[in-house]
Amino acid sequence: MDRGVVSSPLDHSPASQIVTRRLPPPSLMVSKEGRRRRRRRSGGEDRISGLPDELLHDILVRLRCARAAARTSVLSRRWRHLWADVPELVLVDGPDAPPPPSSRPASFVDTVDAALDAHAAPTLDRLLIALSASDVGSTGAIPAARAAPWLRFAAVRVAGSLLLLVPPRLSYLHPVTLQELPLPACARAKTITLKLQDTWLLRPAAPAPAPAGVFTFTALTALTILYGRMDGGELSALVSSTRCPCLRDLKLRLTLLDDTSDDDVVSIRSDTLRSLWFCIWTHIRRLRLVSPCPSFQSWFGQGDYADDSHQFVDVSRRLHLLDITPDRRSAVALTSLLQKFDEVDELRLIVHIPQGAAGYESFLNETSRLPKCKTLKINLERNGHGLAPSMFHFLKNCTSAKKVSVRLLDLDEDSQHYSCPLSCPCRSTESCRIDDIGSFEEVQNQ
Amino acid sequence: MASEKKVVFLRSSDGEAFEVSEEVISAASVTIKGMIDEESPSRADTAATTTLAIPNVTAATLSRVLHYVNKHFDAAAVVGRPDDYIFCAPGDEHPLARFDDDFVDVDNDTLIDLVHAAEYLHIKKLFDLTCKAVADKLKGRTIDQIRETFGIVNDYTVEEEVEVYRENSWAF
Repeated sequence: MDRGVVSSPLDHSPASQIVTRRLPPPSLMVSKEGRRRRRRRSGGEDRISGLPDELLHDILVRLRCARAAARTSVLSRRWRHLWADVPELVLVDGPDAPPPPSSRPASFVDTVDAALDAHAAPTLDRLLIALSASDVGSTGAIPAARAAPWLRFAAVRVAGSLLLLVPPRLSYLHPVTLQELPLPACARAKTITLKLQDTWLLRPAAPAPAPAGVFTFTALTALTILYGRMDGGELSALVSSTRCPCLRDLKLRLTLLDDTSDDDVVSIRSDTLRSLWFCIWTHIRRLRLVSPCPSFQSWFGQGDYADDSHQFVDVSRRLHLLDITPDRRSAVALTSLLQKFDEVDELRLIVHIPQGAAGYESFLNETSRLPKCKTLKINLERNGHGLAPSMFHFLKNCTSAKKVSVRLLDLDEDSQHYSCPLSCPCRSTESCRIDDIGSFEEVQNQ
Repeated sequence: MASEKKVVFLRSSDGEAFEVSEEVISAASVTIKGMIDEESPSRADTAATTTLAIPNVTAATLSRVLHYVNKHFDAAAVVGRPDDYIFCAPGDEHPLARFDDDFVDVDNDTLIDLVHAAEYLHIKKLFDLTCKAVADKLKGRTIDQIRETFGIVNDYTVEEEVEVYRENSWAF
């Protein structure tokens, strides 16, 4: 204990040159209990080290930073292994970290490896790994092989939420070589959020036949996969009720591999699904949705849909939220989706009206039948057509709406200089009649 | 005896008794609610007020805890919005945020007494608040500053300390 002046090898602060033994000022309110406990340490006032492990874990958890927690291991023997049993591991590269001394590992990716290696708690309520753009090289590419051990670690330890957030690659110009990232079954995880690189091909481990339940995502209620790639068949198998029996909220923004062998590129068969946020890029588009659950909260569609590529089986025709971003090149997709539902609390549409009279005609046809909705939010891409006629068209077809919000988007340079021909239906007097528009409680124009 | 508002007395480990509304303390403390529920059949027909012994908490700490409890759990005293942080708009401080900040702006011993009391009495909000306050004292400080703040004695040998630094070098 009597160590004289020692400077810690890695502590670069000037204070570390002086070992301070000054006692804290006497407290104003000293309890008898406290006084008694304090006498245990000769001359010390160290009450925090006397707290039971569980309480110190409760405190270290609230640092919300695995590195800050691990640094406390240097305080004294009492603290040496405490951090490693904290049931939460937050590894976020950010300003919370101290200024990097020269001995710091080359990248945060190494830090994550070291932290997972050193952590000992068998069960984690939360594992958050968030890399920042500065952690990756000039191309922004991180090998999937670096993240694979993290998911293996998570599969065994995480009993709460798992978040792996990786920044996108900086350049689209680099040739895309797909890298497989195996996703082992996380039997205990309740929520999983994966934000991946576009070159990472997420491959769920194939379910082993025996014993039932062990190789599935038994406890999973919410799954989010962003920006990675998956095989349609493997995705379908992953989110099905057999693999994820409790799944309620599913959010997917993925690129699918081309695979012509499957009838349905994605087939979601879930008994428990409550909300679906869906955005998939692929060349072959077929989506089959089988879910008896009557309360889908959201639908977000994007991609070049073919007309009849979506099958909805046992899906309620009444939704809380329908949010559609149709693809510009597809004329019929919007109609196809809109007609799948009768009633929606809130309808959000991003509308692109193609140029020319024919383009406007197709817009009129696509949106001639809207589901009944209470709130209508339209993002209209600015185009050469008359703004008022296109809005009137919506309002005439959506007389049930009580709240309407319109936002104009400037996306296309060319369209702004384009003016539609005189023959365009948007110029007809009929299109400007407003006597059959319903009444509104709230109108927003942004 | 008028019984429009029931009160209970809490007796601290050093023998001081504090009066508190039964409704308020039951809403705040799982432990005391359990004690009251246990007592209630026997006191249903008596006018006598209950005194509960809180053997693990001193008068000084208990009076602080009750100050917190009365602020946070007395519906009549809580003004403004519902007592839930998520309902506040960004930048719009919770009405009790200032109170909370001042409440934990105390010396370490008092704070640790409060952590103990909050844990024993099972007052979740107070436990969160006080643990967070201790964590904040660990944050952004060098090892030596933390040792000084809490009076932690470095009992590593030089060799051990070098070793611990080495095995946790990723965290520095």
